[in-house]
Amino acid sequence: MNTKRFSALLAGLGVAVLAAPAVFAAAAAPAAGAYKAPMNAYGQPDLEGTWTNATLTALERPKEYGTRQAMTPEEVKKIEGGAAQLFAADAAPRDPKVKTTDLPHDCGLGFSGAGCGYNAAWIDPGSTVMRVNGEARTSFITDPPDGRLPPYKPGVTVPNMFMRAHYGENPENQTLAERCLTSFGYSAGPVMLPLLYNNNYEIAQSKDTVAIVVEMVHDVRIIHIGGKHRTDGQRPWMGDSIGWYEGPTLVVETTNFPQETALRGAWKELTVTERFTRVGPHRILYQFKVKDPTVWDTAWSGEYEFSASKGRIFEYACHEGNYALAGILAGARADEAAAAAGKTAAATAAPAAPVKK
Amino acid sequence: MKVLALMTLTGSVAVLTQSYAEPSGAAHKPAASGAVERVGGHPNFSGVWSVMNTANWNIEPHLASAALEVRPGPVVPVPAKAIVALGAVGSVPAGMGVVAGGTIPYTPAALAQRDDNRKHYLERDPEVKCDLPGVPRANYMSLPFQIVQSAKTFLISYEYAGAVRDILFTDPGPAPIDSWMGQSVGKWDGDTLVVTVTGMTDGTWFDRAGNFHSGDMKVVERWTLVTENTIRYEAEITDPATFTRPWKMSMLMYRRMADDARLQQFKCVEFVEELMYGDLRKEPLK
Amino acid sequence: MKFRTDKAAVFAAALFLAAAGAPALAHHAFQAEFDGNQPIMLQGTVTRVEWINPHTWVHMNVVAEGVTTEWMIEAGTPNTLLREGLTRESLKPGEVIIVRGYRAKDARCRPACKANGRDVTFTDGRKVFMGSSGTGAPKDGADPNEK
Repeated sequence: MNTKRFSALLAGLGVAVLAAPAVFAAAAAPAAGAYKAPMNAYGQPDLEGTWTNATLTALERPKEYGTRQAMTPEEVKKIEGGAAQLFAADAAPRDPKVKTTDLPHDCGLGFSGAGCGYNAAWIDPGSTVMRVNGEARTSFITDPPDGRLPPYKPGVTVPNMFMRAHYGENPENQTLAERCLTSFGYSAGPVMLPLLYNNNYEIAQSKDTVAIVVEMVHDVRIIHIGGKHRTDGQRPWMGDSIGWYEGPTLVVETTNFPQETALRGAWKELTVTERFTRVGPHRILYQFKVKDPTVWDTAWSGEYEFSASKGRIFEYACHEGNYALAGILAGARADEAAAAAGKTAAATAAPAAPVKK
Repeated sequence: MKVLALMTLTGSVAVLTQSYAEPSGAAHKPAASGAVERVGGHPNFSGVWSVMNTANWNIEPHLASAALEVRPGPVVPVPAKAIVALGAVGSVPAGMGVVAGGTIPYTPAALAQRDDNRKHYLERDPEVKCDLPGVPRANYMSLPFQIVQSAKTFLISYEYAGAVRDILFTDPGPAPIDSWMGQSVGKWDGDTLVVTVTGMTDGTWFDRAGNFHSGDMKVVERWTLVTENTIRYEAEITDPATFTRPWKMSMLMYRRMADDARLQQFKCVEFVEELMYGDLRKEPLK
Repeated sequence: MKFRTDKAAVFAAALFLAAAGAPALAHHAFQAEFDGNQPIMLQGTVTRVEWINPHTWVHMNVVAEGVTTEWMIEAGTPNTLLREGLTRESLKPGEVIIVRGYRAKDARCRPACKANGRDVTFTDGRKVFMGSSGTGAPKDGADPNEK
């Protein structure tokens, strides 16, 4: 198999997609089934356990599916089979004679060279297409019906959360993930979204609190059941979450988001409403509705299902072992020193001083 | 064990009934049956709690002092240069200590290491770098923690650095690798939750006074709700590489009850970036 | 090495992943930390493994022309592999590994020279770190018995 060729192809595809048509439909209703969710000792729907949202399906739908929410069995087979092969190919032995420079320059998903990172065994982006009530889904977003974010209002800017201005100059210029302040996507959310690995959550419930432990960067969402939103203008990490129970469903409403963790550009007037409903012994239906009238003209919403996670939550003590942030900053200093040395070499000036440590 | 020790500390006499005593005194008697809420057949610890002691400054008995790190002065030691600007804010509040018997039974080599840690406090205390605190230290930092308990779950979420522990009620066997908060396995002994914590790194300390342990430390905690608003917390520390025998600490924790009894966030990582990475800035600050 | 791969299927999976989430797959900019122009291939003896987050670091001694150099190799989060049963015994001091990767731009070699481990194998070619796709994955809900 010509690994190199398909990798190059993937590289060309690793491009983010932008907003699309403004067509709206009613949000999907919660999956109705014969399953009766268990109640806990407090008389609440029991959501406790460790859960994962790892999946091949993403928030937004690839355009070629149009308004088609469900995937055909053939499409599912193809995508899940393809993902399995990507992993299998990486896990296969490597001839000891193969040199680093013999490895394919492109390794898929837009990464190449030093950007390829490590063997795929370290990541866990899921191996299956998301099923909601058994239906294989092309996206989490269900409304707008094209499965994509509605258009932004004029003048709204969406910061690139993966590459900030003045990258490498100061620790504060780095992403929140590189600084170990929170995950590199929206693991904690809300909306809680999966990413490359550690898509694991633990839910714990007391009478007046729901705690959601997010494995990435050990964030803990504390949801005040029956509480009121704060009105003091303070915007804590992950926003200010209150919740209540509606029959078998936990409803969580979050406001007061900080700008640093803007959700696709929204934070100031952002309200995220999440609904957690146990739909099986190993499944929680997770529905979300997002609105910020300063960013989008209408709300958007979506759903996916958490499934029971294998094992417990492991500690992700990011900051304590974060050699990488120092490495990135020192790398930038080395680049500058090399550039300066190149410029001054002809003038026989002294080379730039090495970074001290 | 009855430990009502008299101790002479630089001329003053301290009675340690407050700092270490079995819950046998009248004030520590369990509340009458039914007063403590129960869940799943066990006392319900759910709520926001904190200590009211200075154990995080030094778990051993100590008087107030000028600073956590000092240097020789012309007459008496004076605060290390980096602390001077803090003035009284940089000084250490006194405490009765929480160690049974008052003194940690270090091996001679470990005691020398502890004393050396004090000399290099600023560069060595993991709290200065906002590292996760480990157990037992997480429990008696001045910042509160919240217990979320149900019939099957006992989760402790700490304000400091967003540390978190889930108490496992099924023993998964030895921790596969070390972690900062360790692996906590719990079982109920009557109304006391007994938690065995292993698999911790050697990177955490007990306090700001250089008290430390090895990576082989085992901590057995006993959590007892002595009134609905008071927890008796005990921890037995076993670490033959550092201590000549197992030793215990004990203290009370108090429920936060005011309207503002909400766990806040203390994500201190960003607060230490200048300290840890300042020299790697494009233009380091003068 | 030869793999039997269904090109079309892999293409479909890649298209699906890439269209919606590729940027979200980046942890940190490897290109910022490591130098793509300095590929390295090291064979050496493991001296210590730091099973820590966000990245595991494998310490190894590499002997070349009688001179021993200490290297630290950056790898991924241990948590994924913990779910696959990884323990501190999975890679031990004394084992010999081959690392293909890229050298850190920060070439000060303090406390050791650094590189990332794009491809880490034992000397017989087996990958040191292997996941098995799907075993740690969620149940997909397709099986009605899960409900």
